[in-house]
Amino acid sequence: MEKEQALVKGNIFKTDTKSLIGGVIMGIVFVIACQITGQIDDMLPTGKMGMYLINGTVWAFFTALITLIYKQPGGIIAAEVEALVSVSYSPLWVSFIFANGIGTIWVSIIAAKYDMTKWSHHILAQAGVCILGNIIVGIGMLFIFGIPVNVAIIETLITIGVTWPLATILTKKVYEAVKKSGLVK
Amino acid sequence: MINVKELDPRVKLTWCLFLILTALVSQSMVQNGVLLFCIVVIEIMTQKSLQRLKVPAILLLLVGSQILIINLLFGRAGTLLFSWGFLSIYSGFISAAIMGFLRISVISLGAIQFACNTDATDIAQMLIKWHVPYRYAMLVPITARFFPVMVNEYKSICDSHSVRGVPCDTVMEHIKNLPAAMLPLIYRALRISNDASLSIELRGYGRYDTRSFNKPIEMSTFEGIAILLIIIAYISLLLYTVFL
Repeated sequence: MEKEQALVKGNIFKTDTKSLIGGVIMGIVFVIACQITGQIDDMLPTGKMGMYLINGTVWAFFTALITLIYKQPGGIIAAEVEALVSVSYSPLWVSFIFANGIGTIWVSIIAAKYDMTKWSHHILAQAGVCILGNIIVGIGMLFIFGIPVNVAIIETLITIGVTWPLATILTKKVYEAVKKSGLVK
Repeated sequence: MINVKELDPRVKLTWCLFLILTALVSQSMVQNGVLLFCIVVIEIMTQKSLQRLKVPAILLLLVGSQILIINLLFGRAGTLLFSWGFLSIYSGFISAAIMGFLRISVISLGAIQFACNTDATDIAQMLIKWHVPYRYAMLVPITARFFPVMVNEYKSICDSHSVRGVPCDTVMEHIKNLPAAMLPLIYRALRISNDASLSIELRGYGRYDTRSFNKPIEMSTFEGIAILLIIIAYISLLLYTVFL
């Protein structure tokens, strides 16, 4: 039964069953949220231009929140569940596999170094998620959609600029609310 | 009707990867068109209808229209057709948009076909054959099992909002109620994951290093040859694209 117990290695890994199952179930919530916000973005003019601002914010928020709650491999499981299920609603799913993976690893590294109680910790965590993730999605747009390079660069920069602050605020507020609820330690 | 579900998941995965990687590498509209035709033919041969691809096709048309708008406004390939102020339309925008649409269609429909034709337990068995510990491999069937559960949870939250006088029937209403529905959904997910992990642990999940299955997957010689042929076809197409 030793394998069943939580193993905390340098505050990055948490391989107990609760974290694995939690990663899967929160990954499904992640998919539902991204699917709905994707629909919102499709209706907005920014979405029609390929900039998924609300969807990008929710994506960055969930990537960080799930990693903070379940660490690794729960975070990467949730992120990859979202990336693979997004096959059904986004052709960019190939780039999501890499973007989600890098985003969650970055948050793990930051969460291992800091206690995630200050705004600066969340700003730093979201910096990696939004910048690295959106660059990968931008590369995906370039290769998959075949859009011009300058358009991809501008769209990526705008998306980073909007999603970074919004996702930071959301992550800090919700993470504190979830901790206060007592459902996670 | 051909029963694709009986095929080994490794054959289906190889075919799916062949479609995706070829679509990503290929710069030819004809090649992507042929791949899309193959997907449609397989769907008709196996399902006798295109019903399963109807909703993804609508979504692809939506994304295709976005690609068309972006290429129309910002595409600079070909000769200048029209110019007014900052707006310049070049002749290459239609071919770029069609190419983009064909590529996203192959990537999405190929993956959807693989997901629909492959049982989640077969994918878990495939991962176990690749020496992934079964505690991790079994997360694939768990995802498939819990997806409808979480969708129903989301619907029940929306219903409880409706009872309190906040309608949640149309897409617009769902969108408006999203912030109010998300936090309860996160709380429910945390509670469900606590309960589910406890109950599967009590049933001995992870107690032993191996796990048995009702219907173990085995690859036949024919399936092995099929994988080999798909790999050869991909390498040939790659060489053709790079050198010719």
